[in-house]
Amino acid sequence: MHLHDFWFLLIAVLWIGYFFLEGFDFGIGVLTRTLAKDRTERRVLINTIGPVWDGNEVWMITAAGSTFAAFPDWYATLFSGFYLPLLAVLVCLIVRGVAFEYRHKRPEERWQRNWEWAIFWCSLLPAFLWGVAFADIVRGVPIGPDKNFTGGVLDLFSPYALLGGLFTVVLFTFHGAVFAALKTVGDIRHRARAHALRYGAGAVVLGASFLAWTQAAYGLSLIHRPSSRWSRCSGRWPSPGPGGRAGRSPCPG
Amino acid sequence: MNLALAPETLARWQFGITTVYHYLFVPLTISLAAITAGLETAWVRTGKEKYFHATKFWGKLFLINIAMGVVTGIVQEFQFGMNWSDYSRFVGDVFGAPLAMEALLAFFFESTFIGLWIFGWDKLPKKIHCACIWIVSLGTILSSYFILAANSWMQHPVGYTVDKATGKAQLTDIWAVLTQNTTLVVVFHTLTAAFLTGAAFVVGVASFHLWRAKRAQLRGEELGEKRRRQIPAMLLSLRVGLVVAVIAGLGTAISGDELGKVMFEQQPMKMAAAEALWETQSPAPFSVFAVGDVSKGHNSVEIEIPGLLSFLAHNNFSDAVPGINDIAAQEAARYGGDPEDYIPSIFMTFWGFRLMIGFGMTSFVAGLIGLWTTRRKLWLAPELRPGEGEIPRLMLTRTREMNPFLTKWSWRVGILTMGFPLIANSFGWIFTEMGRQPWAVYGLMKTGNAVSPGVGQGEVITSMAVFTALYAVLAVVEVRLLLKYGKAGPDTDEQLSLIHRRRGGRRQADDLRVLTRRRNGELRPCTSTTSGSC
Repeated sequence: MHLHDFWFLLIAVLWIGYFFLEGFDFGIGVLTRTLAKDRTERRVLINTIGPVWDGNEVWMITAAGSTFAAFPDWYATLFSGFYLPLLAVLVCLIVRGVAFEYRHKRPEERWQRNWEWAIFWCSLLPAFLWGVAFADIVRGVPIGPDKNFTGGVLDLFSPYALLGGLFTVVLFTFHGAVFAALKTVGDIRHRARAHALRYGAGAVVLGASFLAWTQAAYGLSLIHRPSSRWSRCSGRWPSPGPGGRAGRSPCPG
Repeated sequence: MNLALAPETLARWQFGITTVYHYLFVPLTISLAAITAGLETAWVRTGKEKYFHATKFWGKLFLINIAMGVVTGIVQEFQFGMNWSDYSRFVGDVFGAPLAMEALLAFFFESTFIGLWIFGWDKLPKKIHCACIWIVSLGTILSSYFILAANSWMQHPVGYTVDKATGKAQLTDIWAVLTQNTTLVVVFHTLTAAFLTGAAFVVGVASFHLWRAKRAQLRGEELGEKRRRQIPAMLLSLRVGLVVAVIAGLGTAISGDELGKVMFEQQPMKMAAAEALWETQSPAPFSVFAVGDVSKGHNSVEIEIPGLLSFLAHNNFSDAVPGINDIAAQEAARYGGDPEDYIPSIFMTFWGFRLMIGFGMTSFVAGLIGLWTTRRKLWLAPELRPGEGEIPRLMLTRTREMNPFLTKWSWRVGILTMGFPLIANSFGWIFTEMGRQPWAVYGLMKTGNAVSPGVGQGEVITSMAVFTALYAVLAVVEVRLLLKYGKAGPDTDEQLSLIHRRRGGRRQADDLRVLTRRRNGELRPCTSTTSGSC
């Protein structure tokens, strides 16, 4: 194993850890509007992730830092290419983090209500945008010879990427509901279970369609033949699709 | 394209705004973590209530700060890739390494143990709980060390080669990056300045409470029960703050002098710009005040102290210090282009340097005066020594007290200078970063070549506007919260939870229903999992 394989694996592990952990944080944030019926229930939900959210967020900070150190080109292209979506994610993470810490610092109802809305939107949006971004990474985006992103912001929001974003939202919400069922008691727990079942079913359907699409459009053929890699380079690939230009081509040169 | 709205200019503005803003929280976080840890240790060792209240109080202000420090720090990490992608490509191999170390080691440390500290008050044994905040404090210091190592590499690149094929910097010696003299001196200077910042903050808040109580006493009013019980914790805080301010202030001055000498060697232009020293002089004077004319390359008004600059640079009063015009000509000959291209903004560096020293040293002197006048025993007539829990008189000599007017203003100065080191820190960073221009990495990469080529004007304008607006709103929220909690003072009704009164700290799960607060005389059980909601 080369050093870059190791770093790639490490970064993969960090992102997996991040989505695994911050995923249910985002889910809880979404559930504050779909599961919680009143302010007490919202508070209960937010309290379940109170001790863990910032520890979870560190996984992303570390993933980004490792990418910077190990793959400067990847880091530079990705972060400058996905400029506006990342800006939105950053703003959401800032507002959300501050909301968790400041919401209970004043007793006024309006103060708390505003922060609660901030928690909802700033959980929903990153959950969606991370899905879009990773779908784009899988699918490939137009990249010029100087390794800079050459598309516009709309190129990032293809139907495939939108499906990816929707999938992560539902998946994270499912995870959040399971977490809520684990951490709460009483009525809200029963409803969290019911929600988990529904979101779980939705996540399975969306995940299956997303994977099927990925396989059909961008995957290797199901029965891997040695010749398939070559044949993809000889003109059968890239298949037509929005934004499918450079970047994802596995062919040398 | 209009230079004022070029992506490079905008990206620099954004970096400046977000960095200065981020750095308002960083030094407070570093120093308050350590001060809180010290106070908690005192509580664990003595069991005295005042230490407990002080720990809780400063810990709360620390937490309000660190939340902002963390979230604004994420922006810092992301914007290298977003706005400075060519820079990231060029230096990622070197610069990224300490950054990744910071994230991997220090940050995991900090956030894990901060969680344990916040939520462990009722659940962990005293000593373990106290160890948590020490680890957090260590984490903040490690974080700053790695980040400063990365920054020092931009000021003075070492331990690298530039790959001929790719034209990129490659790390050859991480040890050199982590231990070069620039890094070590900068860490020393930055950390002492951070502690001066926290100390001035603690002194300011404590002065506010003590002066309010003292004024009421002088007017002959009876202090309320709540205020009266806050006094011991605030007296303690004042003392701690003053001692830290004096030690850290002295350290800042010594390390600043050291850093100056290093910079005279490594970046002579920065130091010449700091002094608006246009021509090489021997001996070189220290400029107290100057109005320069950049286009003509000399100052039109100037007040100087002869020989002092030679001393700052070389430890003697006679050696030559190179001037801006000579250095610019040298750099132009070496790197190409016009000499003017190598002159940073003299206005910003000259005044940034002076404001940094002025505000920082004012805090140090205020701490020194405070420490002397509020002394409890040393060279003080026995009948004038303050009793236990009594707000001290401000004593100038053995028997002479400050007059009421000076007393009033001394307390007020204590309160008003609360934010001075923050201003000094900001100008220090503005000075050192702008003084390095036109370089992003000194001698290797110019700032103009560092920006993201693929990112358009519209995108940078959007992100700069969004961050500036968001940060402004958050600043208002943060200041209001700090004011609210700072003014409220320690919550002396807060009781130590049951676990800390038992030995060993082993307990059943349902015992976690501890009584944490006594409000209106009514005991309220608390089962919530978060700190604030119960």
